[in-house]
Amino acid sequence: MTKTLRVAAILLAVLSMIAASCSSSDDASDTTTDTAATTDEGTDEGTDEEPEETMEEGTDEEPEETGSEPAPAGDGGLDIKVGAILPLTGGIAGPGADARDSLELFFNTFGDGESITTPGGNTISLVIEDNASDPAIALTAATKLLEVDDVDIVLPGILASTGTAVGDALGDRDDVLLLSPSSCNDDFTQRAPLDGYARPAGWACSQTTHAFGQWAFEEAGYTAVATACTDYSFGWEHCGGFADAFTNAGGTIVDQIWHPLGNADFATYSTQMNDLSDAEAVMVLAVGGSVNPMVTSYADFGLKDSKPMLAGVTTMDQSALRAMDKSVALGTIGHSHWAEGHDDPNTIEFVTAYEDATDKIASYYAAGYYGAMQWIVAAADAMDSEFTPAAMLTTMKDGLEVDTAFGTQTMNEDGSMTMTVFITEVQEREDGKLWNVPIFQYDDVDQYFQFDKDEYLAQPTYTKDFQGAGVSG
Amino acid sequence: MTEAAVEAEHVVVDSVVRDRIRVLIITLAIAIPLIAWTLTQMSTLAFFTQILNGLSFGALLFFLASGFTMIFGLMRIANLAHGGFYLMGGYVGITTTLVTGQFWLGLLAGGLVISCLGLFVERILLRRIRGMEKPEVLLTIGLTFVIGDFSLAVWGGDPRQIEKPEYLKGAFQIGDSFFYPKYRLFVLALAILLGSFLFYIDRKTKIGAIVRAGVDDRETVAAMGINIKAVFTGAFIFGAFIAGMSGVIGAGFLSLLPGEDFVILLFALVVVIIGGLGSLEGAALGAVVVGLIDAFAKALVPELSFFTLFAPMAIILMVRPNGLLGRAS
Repeated sequence: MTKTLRVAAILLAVLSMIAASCSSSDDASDTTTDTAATTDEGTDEGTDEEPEETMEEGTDEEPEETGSEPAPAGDGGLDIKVGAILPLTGGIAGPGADARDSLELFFNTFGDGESITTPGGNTISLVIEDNASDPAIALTAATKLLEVDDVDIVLPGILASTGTAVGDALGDRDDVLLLSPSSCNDDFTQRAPLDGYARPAGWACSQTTHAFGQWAFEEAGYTAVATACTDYSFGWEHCGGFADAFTNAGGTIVDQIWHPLGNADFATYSTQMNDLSDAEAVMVLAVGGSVNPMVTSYADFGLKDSKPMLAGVTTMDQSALRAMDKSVALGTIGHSHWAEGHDDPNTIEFVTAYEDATDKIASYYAAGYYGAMQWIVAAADAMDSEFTPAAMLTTMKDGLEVDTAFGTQTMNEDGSMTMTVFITEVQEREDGKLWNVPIFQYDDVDQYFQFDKDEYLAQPTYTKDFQGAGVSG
Repeated sequence: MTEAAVEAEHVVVDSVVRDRIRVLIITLAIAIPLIAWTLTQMSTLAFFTQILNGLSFGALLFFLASGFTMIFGLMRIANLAHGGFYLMGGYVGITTTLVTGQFWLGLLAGGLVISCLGLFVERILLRRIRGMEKPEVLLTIGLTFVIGDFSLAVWGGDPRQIEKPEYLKGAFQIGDSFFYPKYRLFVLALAILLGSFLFYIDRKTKIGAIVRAGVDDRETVAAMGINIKAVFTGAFIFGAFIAGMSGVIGAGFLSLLPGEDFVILLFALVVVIIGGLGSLEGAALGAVVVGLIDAFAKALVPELSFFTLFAPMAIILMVRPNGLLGRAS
């Protein structure tokens, strides 16, 4: 009898929990629609006023900057729903939290936290889903966003694996626009372009390393370099960009070491690098939790002085730098399209606001998702027709210049960015925190940079077996 | 003791010794050609450095595996929350070190906090389902998730490392070409110290005798008037203490982040399965074997570094289902 009672009580508890969660999600979506409908009046209130002014300043300039053919200002009234699939739990919850924080900052600064009204009178609202750093869960989340939330734009996950899963599933659908500010698979904007896909405020994995490879040979004067990158598509493409550009400029890649994704202990690889007597420097890429062990091991094995590290985008990104030992990181040369220590007014404004809100210096993930929202707002205001994914994409590619946290960016016809790539140095800020400060920069870098587009596209995608024509396997 | 009993004991001891010799011969037969081949692939200096790499990573694994194997041997509980203990212990150590500036205090705090958690888990949770294998496994797996999410909420998702004292930073240098991280040598020394201490307790003290007797025959130990429940609790707390401490040690050269609990648990499981569940010597041997395989496989066949870790485990399980030094239960 007691047993039956207990079972019944448990069942009741479970049922009431399900009911409670259903009603709370209903509440949430209700609020979203409500605020979307009432934001015109709602935004006049209270603290929202000031930031809105800032945003207007930013976006007002855009049509002027486009010069010859300013994008026509739309009539407003568009109601656009954005769904972000972020790794809020699992292996890369750190970068996921950075992205979420920057989206929240954007919606809190310019709206009521869930939706904003753009200067052009369009409403943009946001739904965030967790993908647990897992491609399968990312797909489920994408389906939920499309079927239940009915979103118009999806920002897919951070990892290449989740980005690819969502890209493959949604990239060719015409009812949703896929905008990826962080996951960077080369071929989505190169050899196998997706129709409804672009990378506002994002990058192609080999785009930044093309500039870095050229810099390493021409400016830093290295002639023989080894690489040590993560053994999966991001690592192949990121390293491949460097190796191809470095050898194209005249340098030699003496050896390439590949370490598995998620590797924890880097002593083996540091020992191997110590053994490479020909290498003057090592281009190093690690991702997520592997970064700090790799960088620590590099320094502990005495490599920092004998073979300077040339850091990949994620290696010295703020997401890893925050927890890095000062003596290990200070002075390391890296590169990225994001440099939190850049003195560009847009960057300073974002870095300051982000730090005020979260107490963290912004990583490239934070800047990327914030930048993607800046792109969406600018494109929505520049559209002169009803919202369709294709129409927004056309607007983005049609000479729109957007002031993002990265600086001013434009989008190419293939949906990739033309942007500045910085060569950076890890320096100590006045308050003792570490950050990346630009020491050199290449402006107007597109995904082909020094290569001829047709010749570049004729060569295979970078894999472990192909790292550029000048690299012997 | 009758003559027959003495003789029977001799037979048992002889068979154990013969068994150990057989393991040694097989291990050497596999290892010697492998070493010869490896030496053709890398410089002698790199070879010895890789051995140190393997041993120092194995040292960390020994910390983890010794606690795991002791709990299993005594209580027959595969404590899958051990990885969670590692992760949270590490985080506690990092925070303590950050606040006090003392690495050693962090090490101690990591162990102590997790042993308190261990006390709670054993007394409040596990005791209710003693002897029920599946609920025990599910409960400890569930605990790992709870600890993981709790850690994510408290410490965030960014990878974290501990601030090492100055004298453990950087490389220990001999001549111009040999560098070795001081911290890894420290971890190795600490593991040797812990190993010696555990063996001493196990072999030379009454507590060790009780624990060994408990591993062999719990019922008889209980019948002799020893409070076996208290022994269980003590062992669980001690296992949790070492797990928490190993998290702090690991935070010095690996990263702590969500998901690391499962990665390290997997390594610990491989170590105890290769070495033999419930055997302290097994944990030590398993840790050395897994550490060395990990170091050399990454260098020689990087694409297969996970395969090379699990293949020997599968082969050993086929040939010796109880692990290298495990005894048939």
